[in-house]
Amino acid sequence: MKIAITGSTGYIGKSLALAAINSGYDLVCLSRICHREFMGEWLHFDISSIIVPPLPINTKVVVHLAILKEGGISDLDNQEILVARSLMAEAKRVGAKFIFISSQTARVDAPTLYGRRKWIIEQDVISAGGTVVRPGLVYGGDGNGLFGELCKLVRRFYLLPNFCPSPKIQPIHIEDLVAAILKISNLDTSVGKVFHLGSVLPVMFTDFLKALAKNHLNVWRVFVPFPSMIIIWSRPIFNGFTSLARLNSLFDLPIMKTSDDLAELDIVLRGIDLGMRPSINSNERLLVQEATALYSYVMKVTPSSREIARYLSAIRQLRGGLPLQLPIMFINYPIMLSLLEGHIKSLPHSKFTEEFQWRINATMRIAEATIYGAKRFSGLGTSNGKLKSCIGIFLAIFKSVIIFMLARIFAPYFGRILPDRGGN
Amino acid sequence: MSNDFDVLIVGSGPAGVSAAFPLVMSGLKVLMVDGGSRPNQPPPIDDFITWRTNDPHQHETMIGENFYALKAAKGSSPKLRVPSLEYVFSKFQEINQITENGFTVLGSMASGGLSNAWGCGVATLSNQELLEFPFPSSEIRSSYADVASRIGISGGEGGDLSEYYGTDAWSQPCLKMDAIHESIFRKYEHSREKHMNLGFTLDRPRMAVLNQGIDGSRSGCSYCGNCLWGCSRKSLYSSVDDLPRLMKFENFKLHQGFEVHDLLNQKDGSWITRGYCNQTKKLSQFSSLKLFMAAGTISTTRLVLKSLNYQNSVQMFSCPTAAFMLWSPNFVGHSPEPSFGSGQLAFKISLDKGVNAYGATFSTMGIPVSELAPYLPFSSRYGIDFLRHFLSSCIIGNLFLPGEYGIATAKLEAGGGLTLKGSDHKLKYLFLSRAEKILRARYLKMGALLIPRSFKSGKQGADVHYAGTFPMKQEPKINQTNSMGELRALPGMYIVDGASLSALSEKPHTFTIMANADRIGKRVAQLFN
Repeated sequence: MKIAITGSTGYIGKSLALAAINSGYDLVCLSRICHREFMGEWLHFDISSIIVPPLPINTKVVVHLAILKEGGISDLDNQEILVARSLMAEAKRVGAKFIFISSQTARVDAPTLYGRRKWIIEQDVISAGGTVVRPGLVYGGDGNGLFGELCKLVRRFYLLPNFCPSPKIQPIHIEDLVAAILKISNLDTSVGKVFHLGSVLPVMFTDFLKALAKNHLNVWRVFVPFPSMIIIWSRPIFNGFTSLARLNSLFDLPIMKTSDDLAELDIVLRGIDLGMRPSINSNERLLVQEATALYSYVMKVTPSSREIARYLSAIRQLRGGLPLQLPIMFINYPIMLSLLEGHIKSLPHSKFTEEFQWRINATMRIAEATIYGAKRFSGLGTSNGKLKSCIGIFLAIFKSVIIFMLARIFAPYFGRILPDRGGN
Repeated sequence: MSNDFDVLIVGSGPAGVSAAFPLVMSGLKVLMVDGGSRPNQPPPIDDFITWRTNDPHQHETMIGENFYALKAAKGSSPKLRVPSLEYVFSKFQEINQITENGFTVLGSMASGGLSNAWGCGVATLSNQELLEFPFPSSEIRSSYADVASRIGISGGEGGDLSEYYGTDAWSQPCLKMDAIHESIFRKYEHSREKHMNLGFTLDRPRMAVLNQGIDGSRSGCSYCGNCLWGCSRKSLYSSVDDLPRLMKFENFKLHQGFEVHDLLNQKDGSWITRGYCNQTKKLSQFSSLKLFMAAGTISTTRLVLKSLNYQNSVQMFSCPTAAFMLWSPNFVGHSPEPSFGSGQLAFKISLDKGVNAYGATFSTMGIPVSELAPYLPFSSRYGIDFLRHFLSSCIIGNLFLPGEYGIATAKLEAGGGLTLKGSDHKLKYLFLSRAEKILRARYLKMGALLIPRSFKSGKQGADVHYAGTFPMKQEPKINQTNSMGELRALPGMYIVDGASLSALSEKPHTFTIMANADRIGKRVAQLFN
């Protein structure tokens, strides 16, 4: 199934894109910048511009996450709303389901511009037959967003406020949220529905911060009683969409009834003590980076999400699911892998060299077994002619000779940066 | 005591099926047992180029759902990485408790055995070669004819190796060659006398592949190029395709999924065959007056040694092999075309007095480029660039020396397993080197260059050209058999597969195994009558 995600470079967007790839979806990323990590199709999409790119005709689901980063300026007040409408119209044109990721803060009379804007877009989405998801406070993983801001605060300050009375929040781990979004994308019964996703029983915000400090950051902090009224009185000071303004909104959160929606999706949320433990999907991210780098190197094009998923599946089944831990320069510049290959042949046998060669060969086999692979590896479906083939042979030999010489020059540097150097 | 069957045949490969026909047709009650593995995915229907350029699910054919193609060790035969052939090779080593020591063991627990994955080359032994065998050559000649008419062979249109093959009388016309092979063969014919005087003879190979359909159940080759991935037309002979014909006989029973453990000779001369039935998940046994061993050289050797309780090593013939690649510069830029995937031309090289090498050349179409790229001195990215433009002007070849130039032994271990050990004959590399020089010189005259460093000796055993652990002899010793494949210590057991061959030449040997099995089947049928 093809899924288009706006804001795919953001906190939730990145995790959703990764989860979509792992679940075998064909991914279309709509963002301002083409992100190296999650490949599939990329379409330029800038929410500050009203222009929405045409979606691929077989897109089945559009998940709209993108928001304007800066606070509203009066003449851009409607920008997000207008963009959301354009996106909905485009989704309707291709027959795709539209899922809008809103917020627990969304209300007609929300204290923040963010909450009010979300509410307006929600009404448009519901009336157009789309689906709205209102998550509680999203936490976990390693990202930005409000959770990222809270992590920075907890890291920075030894003394933290114990708000009295403590606001109550309904947190949801980011992996639980993206799993829920993918389930909603497969539901037929979500037309015009609002899904409320967060912990069934509200959690004291102070308990949340304590769990963040202890389990996520492994730091010890002192919580000092702090009257909540001070925050409420100081609301007018924070304007627009700064993180602290969103923190402000925690003090005026409506409690969501989430049990029915979670039951409908058959999702059981993890508790914050477990959820705050450091992310265990870092291996997945490294494997996606590795798959993208190896595939791009072998095929000279970026892989589709299906091809990445196939590689991940092979590594999980046959190599224990562990990433190779390629140095970052090979992830960012896959063509450098040609130097590494040239150098590795001269190295003594080690676990890394053996594993690297296995994975390159596996990538070749997986890549060859595709329609594009037939063209790339065997020239099937193309006709080259004698001259073009002679040039192709000559260039391949010429480049290989250059690589051979450069590999000798870079050999001492590679010797320092590779994960293990010769031992087993 | 009454017996369940007159004859029990262990194995449904080419030998077992060839022995079964004369036994069943003479009215004997026959049970055939085999390991029973069946294909887990159907072969492709479209031709190779069509499904490669159009099928978005081709990874299922090329890699397999569980990434089967990524599991087999590098350097082993490409057939071991074809997902649709997994059922042919799986569990063989485990069930037979094989230990390899410098010798690669391939075997099959599938119905039809290794004939589900063979190259289909056929040849008869000459009268000179048959002198090693303890029966008149006329006895096996009629069996050659009967087997040929049953399985269907093609390639016989005269030619310089017509007498060498000896099959033309029973043969359909040759299959078509691709453009590179056509060009090479034309150049050979232009100066054939010179080539032959220098010890090199080229001809069309004789194959157990149909050019024209027979029986209504098997069709002629359509040149789809899917030979490695599975032949949906059943043009390539596999003995599994003869099983329905055998099952039409009321006196024939097939019990699939039966792993033979023990063979017990009774006092009255009859046999008990004990084993594990996969369907009922129980041990069971069958009794028969006579027993035919057709489980393949390795399995038969293990079971027979176990039955004899023979603890010494037995010698085995094993043909040394080599592979190489030829480049035809005139064909650079040539568009890949669908073509027959097994041998298109075959050659014989005279290495010494009475010592020949034999081999064939194949199109590269149908073989994954990933099989070849790791062997190039290029990094992968540029290796792929290179092969994409280069490979369509190449052909690959293999070569076999006579089996007496490979040293191999089999030994029964204490737990009932079998250890296969291989080492190099002192003349092996001399002959391979001589063969390489002749190939290089002769193909150069035919417009093809033997790519430097591409001529590589193969691992012992990897091409499954081995035989003769219990060779038939005029006066057999303890681990040798008489002209019926019978050991003196185990009367009533007839070894009819490669284990009883008296010699192993450089020629393809499966057709000879089938004819020998047919011959022994006929003689045993006469005994009953």
